[in-house]
Amino acid sequence: MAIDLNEYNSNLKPTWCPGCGNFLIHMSLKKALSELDITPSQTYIAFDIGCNGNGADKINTYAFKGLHGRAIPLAAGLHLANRKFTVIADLGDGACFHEGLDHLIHAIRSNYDITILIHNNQNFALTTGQATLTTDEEKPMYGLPDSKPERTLEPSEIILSPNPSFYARGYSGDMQQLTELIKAGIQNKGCSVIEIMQLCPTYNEECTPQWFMQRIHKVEDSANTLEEARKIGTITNENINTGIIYRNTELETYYELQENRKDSQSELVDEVNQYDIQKLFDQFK
Amino acid sequence: MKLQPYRGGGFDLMQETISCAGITETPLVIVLAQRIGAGTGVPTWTGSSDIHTAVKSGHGEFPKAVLCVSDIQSGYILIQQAFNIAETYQIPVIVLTEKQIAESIFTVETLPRALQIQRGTYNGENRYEITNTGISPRWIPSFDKKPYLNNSDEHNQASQSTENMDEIREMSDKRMQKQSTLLNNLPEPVLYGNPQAQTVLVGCGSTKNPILDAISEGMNIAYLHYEYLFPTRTQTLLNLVSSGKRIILVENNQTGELGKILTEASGYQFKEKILKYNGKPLFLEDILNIQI
Repeated sequence: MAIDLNEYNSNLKPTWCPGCGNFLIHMSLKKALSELDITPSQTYIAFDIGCNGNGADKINTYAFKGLHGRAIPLAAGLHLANRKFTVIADLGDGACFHEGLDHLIHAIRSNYDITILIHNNQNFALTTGQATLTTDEEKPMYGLPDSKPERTLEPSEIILSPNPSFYARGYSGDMQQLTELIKAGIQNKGCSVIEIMQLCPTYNEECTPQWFMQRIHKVEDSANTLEEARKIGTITNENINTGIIYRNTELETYYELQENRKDSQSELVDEVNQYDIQKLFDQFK
Repeated sequence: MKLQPYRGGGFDLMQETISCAGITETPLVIVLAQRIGAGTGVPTWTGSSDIHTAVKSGHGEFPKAVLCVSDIQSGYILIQQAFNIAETYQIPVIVLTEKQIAESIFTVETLPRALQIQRGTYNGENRYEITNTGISPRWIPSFDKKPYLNNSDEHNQASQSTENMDEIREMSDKRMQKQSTLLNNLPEPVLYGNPQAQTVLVGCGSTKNPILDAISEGMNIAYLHYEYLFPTRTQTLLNLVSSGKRIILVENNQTGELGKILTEASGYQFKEKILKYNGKPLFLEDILNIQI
């Protein structure tokens, strides 16, 4: 019995542009939580800064809207304090691959049990369209009318190189698939990275729904090796594969690898206690 | 709630967190271990030249507290107070120590019993409710409680982002009210030595140690010692000034950083300063050489 979607709504209306991919990404997230029977009080979302972050007060869960590029460390901290929570980091390609790139790499290699949603709209949209590393090399952008001088980088290369526990790619125009991917990411024990190809009709107007539909192919089976995953994951001019690209179920999570937490039944958040250090002093006397 | 130890360079790097903790009203304790110099400075030599940067840290306006450790006893007490203040007032608290203190060997007979932990949490309807003290309800997230958003955007009482002029002003006032509430609950600085002495030294941090040594050697001075540095209590200092004492600022830095903070809070301009900034701590001889 799924939870009523209205439970996850605040009383505010979204401020995104008409046609923005964020509407359906938010709806997919709410649907995923609802279908997994995870209540608003069992969810903690760390929001980044950007168009996606403007959704922070439009969803009714525990949440922290922090600083640009810092959603992942907030999510990691929230998870380690209380692993009972479903913890999600919600950020854009600008925050994830620029300000917060180090956090992404370390979260994947640390394998915190969190789900990272990357809204990849191929630009810094909130500040009216600056180039990110996913922006097309030829594309004139605000402040860069002759296009960017840097090379474009492939997010799948960055995400796969630290060997993630779970890597999927969805598309903001396919809510049904995206909902299933978010559910699978939440259920995966470990760091789940979900890259979401996002429509941005304002600053990435060339990439229309038709443009995406011509290129998107759904993969049925995830890759077993990183080499295979790189092949499936690489975006070309003709092809964007969506679905679960790679899983590695062998990896232990960061918390499981903490020797001093092996036998503990409680969560860190419950362990703030008064300690008497007098006995320690007596040892020195 | 977090404890993060830094020295100056790391502190500079991570300052965005202080501002974020300020507006989201997230308890945060930072230990800033000072050493001499800007940039990489003189690694592993001592000084207390990060007082000003601690007090002024973070962009925007928000309340914070700065405490200053001088020896093992004060470190033991102040780190506990730092956590209690951070959680009670939901503000960032910076605990200043120095290389000289961190790497000195002290012996103590015993230390007092640990302070009662104050988490300052209580339930409410709105995370950023406007109250007389400025302190809003804050509850540890759990499944049976109402979820809330910690918002680094300016927000209203219900934590929704706002650009409403009245809400911006009211929430800014609410946050800053916590600083006034805290100041009312902080102690005045301690006056050591002979309260009748004509010369009063003023300082904080490790300068206390050679000054107390000089007093025990028989030097006829009083010493006003700041542990709770910001927000700043000034009544004892102003009483000493108005009673005609000779006031000398003693600091282990170049520009008299504690003095600047005290001047800003009290209006009193220090006329005499003893400032040592060659990487060495203040020694007993530095104090005994003061002409009184």
